[in-house]
Amino acid sequence: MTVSILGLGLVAPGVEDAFRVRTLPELADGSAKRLTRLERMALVAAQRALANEGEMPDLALVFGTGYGALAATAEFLDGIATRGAAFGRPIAFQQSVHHSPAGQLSILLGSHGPALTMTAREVSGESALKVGMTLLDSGRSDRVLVVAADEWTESLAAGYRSFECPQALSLGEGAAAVLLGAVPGALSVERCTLTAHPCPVLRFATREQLRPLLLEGASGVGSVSISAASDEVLKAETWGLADLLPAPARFIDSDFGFHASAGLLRLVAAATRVQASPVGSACAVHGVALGGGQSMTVVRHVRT
Amino acid sequence: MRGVAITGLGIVSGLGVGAATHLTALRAARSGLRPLSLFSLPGLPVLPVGEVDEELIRGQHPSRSVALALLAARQAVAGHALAGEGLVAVGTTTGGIQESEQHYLRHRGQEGRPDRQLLKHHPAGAIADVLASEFALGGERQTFSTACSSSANAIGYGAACIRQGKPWALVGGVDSLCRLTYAGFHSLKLLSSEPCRPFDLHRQGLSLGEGAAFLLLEDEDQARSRGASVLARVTGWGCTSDAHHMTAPHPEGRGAMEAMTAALADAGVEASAVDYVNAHGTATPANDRAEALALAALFKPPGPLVSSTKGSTGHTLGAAGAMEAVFCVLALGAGFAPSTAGLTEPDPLLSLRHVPPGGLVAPLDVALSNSFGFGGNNATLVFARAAP
Repeated sequence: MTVSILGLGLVAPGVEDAFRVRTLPELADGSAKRLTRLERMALVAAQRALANEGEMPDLALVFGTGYGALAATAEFLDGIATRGAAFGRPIAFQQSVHHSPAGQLSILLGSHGPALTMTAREVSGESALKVGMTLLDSGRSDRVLVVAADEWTESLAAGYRSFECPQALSLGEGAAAVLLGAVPGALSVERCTLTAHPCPVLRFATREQLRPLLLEGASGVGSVSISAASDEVLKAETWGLADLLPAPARFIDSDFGFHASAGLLRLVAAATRVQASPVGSACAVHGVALGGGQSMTVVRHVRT
Repeated sequence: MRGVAITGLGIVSGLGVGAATHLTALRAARSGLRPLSLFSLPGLPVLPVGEVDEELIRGQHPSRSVALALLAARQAVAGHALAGEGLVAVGTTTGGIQESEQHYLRHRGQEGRPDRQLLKHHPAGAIADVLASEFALGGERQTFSTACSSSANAIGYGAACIRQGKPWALVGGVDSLCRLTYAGFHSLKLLSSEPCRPFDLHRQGLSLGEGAAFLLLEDEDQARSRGASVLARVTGWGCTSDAHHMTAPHPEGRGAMEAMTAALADAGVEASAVDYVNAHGTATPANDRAEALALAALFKPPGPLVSSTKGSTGHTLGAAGAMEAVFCVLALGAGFAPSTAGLTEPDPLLSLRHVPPGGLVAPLDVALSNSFGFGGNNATLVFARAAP
């Protein structure tokens, strides 16, 4: 079936921002004032992807996040630690739920269609994309808004640091949104493959494990966005693609940093590049997650 | 959604472990609720919860949620070799937070390196990773985290993937009791001081629970060709949003009714064909009222038999949809509709055809299971008795 990209939205750190989103636009909707930072990033990305669309009450939403609203979780736990177990802030508890951003989006967008939240460590954005494509393919909706967001918090950074692995991760944050439709469009998601390999929970899959999907996904496309999640993964990706002829152009969107939703940010960047290229151009976006997850998504410019 | 066979079941809850144990408990209308002993939170009352007996999972895994999931998933897989690229889909609300919250409360967001193992399974997606490694499964892994409808959506998605050609799907859900949810639901004033009483005139709120349930789904023709026993079929999945409020249901149960309508349409059956509804039935005043209104709007009198099994297990959050799916399969297979533990004086404002106390032996062909969650998320599954 055709899965077209009908809109793109991005909230990403600036080049000089050390992987943190420093500024967020003011939201005109007063009801958005109580949103958490994570929810605000998700909403801004969603609004950008929907900029050319009218109301869509049957819109399906699929939200991806690796860690959800960790700041709200920490706030609630801080409350019970400092004020006592009976004095946790109810709003912080509600906001700590992974599905909270999707619930807020459905309310603010007035969408009554399916709303799902997916979490798959560092391929959470790709996981949401895959589920969104399945909703389209199974006829449950004809428009699906896929949104992914993760936030940087000190506790998350400390968690990564405490394990000292993998090396050279640049922990970042951001949000992205992709509006999918089962109608012809300029860009299509040709395929989205999710797989996983037996692997310790705090390690990436080995280069031998990553290679088959890398080769399959990158065959016949002109460019590849590699994850470069760590020095080790970058070497594995380079090694895995070495024998591919003709060699595809390689992009490393490292400004986004490494986080659970970064894959969808890189997909938006790849789609933007492909759309600026001749019809027929395609890019394969490769993703990896700790614990053995791997994804490969191919986006193609199909018509002007 | 025809032709998606359920060929394996696994379950662990405050009632015990295994499908047979649970069917016996449901026949006896037994409640697994008892005072919380897993942890203490000074300043909060010790309330009845559906807590899993520690002996059942001792030494299984450092993460309580992973241990519960492994115990249930092993029963569902039952040694069957799962060939080809299938799907592991898990529903969970809080994943491994039972351990990571201990780290946070000790170290308040600092590295706390000596205790770092407590953080190892914090990401909710890690449960699916461990399950896949345990059974040496490649292919797609998905983790749904739509609060209390999480595992219902995991099952629905798994069935949709079987229809699209995947050979098998191991689907289910898990959540363990933890301080975050215990104190969190207390802060929302949603916990009952006595064992919960779904749909009762004197209901006060919910009782929390924990546990896991998993189902093995296969293409029905393929399952029969390998000689597998088909326990029941998943025939429909509907999911919708209220787009109304983050913690309160739509007062007329609009989104709930739309989810049930979508699931029945997906199954290709009329509402009149439904024999039994395993309701979301949390026992909070607002949830039970909204669900009852939705059921009354959808089903013409006398309507299907209705019960909530949360009086037996407590509300197991992300695991609830999968547990109640198992209860529907058991009900269809045994021809027995379980009653609602804790329901002694039905709320006269709720027009429901309650399963009578002690349950009802009756031929059941179609069952419907509701799961609703924070953020106005509604999921409904439809199950059909297996053809002989």
